[in-house]
Amino acid sequence: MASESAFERQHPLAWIFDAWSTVRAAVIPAVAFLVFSQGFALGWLAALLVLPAVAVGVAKHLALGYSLRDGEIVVRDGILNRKERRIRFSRIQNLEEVQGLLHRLVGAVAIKLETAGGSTPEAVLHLSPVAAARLRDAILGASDEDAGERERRAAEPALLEVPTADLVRLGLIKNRGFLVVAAVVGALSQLDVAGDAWWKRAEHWVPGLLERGVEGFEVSWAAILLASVGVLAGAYLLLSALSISFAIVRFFGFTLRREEDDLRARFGLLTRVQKAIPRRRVQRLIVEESLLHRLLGRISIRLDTAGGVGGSLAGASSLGDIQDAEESGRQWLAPVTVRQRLRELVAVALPRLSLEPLERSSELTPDASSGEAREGWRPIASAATKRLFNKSVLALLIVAYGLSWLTLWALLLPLLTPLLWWLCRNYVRHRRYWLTRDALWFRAGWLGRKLTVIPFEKIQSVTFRASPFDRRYRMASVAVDTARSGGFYAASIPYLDAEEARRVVERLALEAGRRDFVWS
Amino acid sequence: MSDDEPEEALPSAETPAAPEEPPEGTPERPPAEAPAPPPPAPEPAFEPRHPKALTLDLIVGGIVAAIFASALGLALLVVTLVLGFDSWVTGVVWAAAAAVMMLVSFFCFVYPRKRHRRYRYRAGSAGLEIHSGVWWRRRIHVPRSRLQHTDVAQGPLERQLGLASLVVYTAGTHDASVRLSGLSLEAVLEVRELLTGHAEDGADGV
Repeated sequence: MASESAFERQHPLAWIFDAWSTVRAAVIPAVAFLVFSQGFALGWLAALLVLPAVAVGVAKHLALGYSLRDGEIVVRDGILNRKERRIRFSRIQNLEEVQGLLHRLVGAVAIKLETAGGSTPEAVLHLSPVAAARLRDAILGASDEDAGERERRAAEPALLEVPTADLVRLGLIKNRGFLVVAAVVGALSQLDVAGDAWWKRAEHWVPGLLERGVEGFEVSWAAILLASVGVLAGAYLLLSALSISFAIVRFFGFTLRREEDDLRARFGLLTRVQKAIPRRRVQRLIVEESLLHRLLGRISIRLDTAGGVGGSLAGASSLGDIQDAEESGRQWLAPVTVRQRLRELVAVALPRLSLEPLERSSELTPDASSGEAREGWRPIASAATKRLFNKSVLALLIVAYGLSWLTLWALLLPLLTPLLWWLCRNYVRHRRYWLTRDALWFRAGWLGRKLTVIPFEKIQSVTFRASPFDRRYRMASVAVDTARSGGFYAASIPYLDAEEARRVVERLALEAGRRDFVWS
Repeated sequence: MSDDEPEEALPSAETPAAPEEPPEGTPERPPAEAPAPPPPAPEPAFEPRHPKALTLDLIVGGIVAAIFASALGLALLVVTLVLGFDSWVTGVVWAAAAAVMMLVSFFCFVYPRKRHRRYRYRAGSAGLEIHSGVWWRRRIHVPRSRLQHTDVAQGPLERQLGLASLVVYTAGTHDASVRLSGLSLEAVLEVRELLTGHAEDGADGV
């Protein structure tokens, strides 16, 4: 609602974020340099690294100004190349607010504005909470909503609130502990300056410990076994603890609310994030239920959206963002929740979609030759078991042969063949798909399950593929392409009966053709 | 152009609207069963590529084969000069070279023929459908409503032979662009018009 206003600067300490992102990449080697060069290197470090970064950050900060005008925001930035960008409020699809640790220390909020085009945010501004609120009001105010309605909606209970206990479960399920360990090992390996010292110390330490511990004890098989189990268990516990902390730090207080046509997710412990999930840009929904999920009675639901923040490393301001960027446009609808909430959440994310497949989740409709007359979960070709089995036996034999050079015990591996058959059979039996009146549903997995839902209107193209092996068995696979599927097909259904595959492809092409695809 | 492979003939999908319509061009297609609602207009028939497209493929194949031949010839020359005919290595190298040349000839001269014969496309109100592939068969369907934009492209050889390619772009990722090649320029423009509903005079920078 602003008229012409002068250009405002960001939060006075906004230059810190720019400087920090430059310095961040060099932190570990820098610290190593510092620690092992006896202190006087501090001066060098400051001169070569910190000061230039700060100078550039300050220059950029001074050069950036934004202004809230009638129905649009104007951002001017650039030191050498000046640029003025105008973004109409009505075109802003996504408004994300992130508060990293540094932001909170400094008392600022990072606001990321996203429009329909492009994968990076059109504008990233570091503002004080007051300025951020003003900006948010200006942008959201453009959508004809009055304060009263917004207040009323804010008072509504959230769609989903993830308790911390569930995050503990998530940590156990995902076990991202490896990531942290890898990061630590990576960091340690960068300490090349002192590299040898660390490893040498470790080398003396551990055998020394072992020697002292074992001294005086009878070294027996049982003891060694126990010790190894103990070590493995200890390692697992440590990794799990790391993973749990990771999950908690990333998703603490995950709250999902409905906001007009979008969903808004709020989460984070150190870095607070507020993300908008535009429902009309949901290309695909995936429900994960791995074995660990099932043991703990939970599921994870995520969405693929077209565009939206999270698609590029450039906008990353936290570890979570980096993960998001890697996952490329994926948003968590529910990082972890109970299975009972599945239907409700899918209904909210993909409104107007027929949810029959969720109701008849275990029924299998026998393959009716009368075409699409019978609706229901359809299996893949039964001959798939044989094919998969052949492939896996071949793989097993190759592995057994390869390993037999190391140990003759490997030659016993082929005895696992009946087990393989059982695994293949179950794998095939649990694969199924369903073409409802408005979406493709595809379920895969036996011990661990994965459900993929793609609305017809999001399908860009459909491909029927048959390799020579497929043709021998009269099979084919159907692949569906959507926007932003991360380089692969959004869904690929292999081992279908060829005739059935043909029908499915035709139906999918027809249904997709009937519906308009709207980018935003 | 008929498919004369003895193995399973892949019947091109018949139009669901007109099961009585006699198949054109590929006589061995059986009529398909008719599922629920019939679309209003009859589907166009499948078209093959332009005959000159095979010429193009063979020319390209010839060039590739020539490159291989000269490279191998050079290698053979060097090996023979250095090692002479008494060393067994020379024999092995000659045998390997022969094998490679056979393989190359197959892919440069025989395979294009097969591929050309199998290639089919269909463009109409339902969009673009392309059947391609000899051993790894592929049929891609792009609905009309998913076309973002189109390109008409002509490489130098294509220009000489009066051929062109149509590239259609969708909002997808894996198949963001789909290429229909081996058609005459007129046919390509016609297909583009069918798909986008715009009249082209063929003079837009092609």
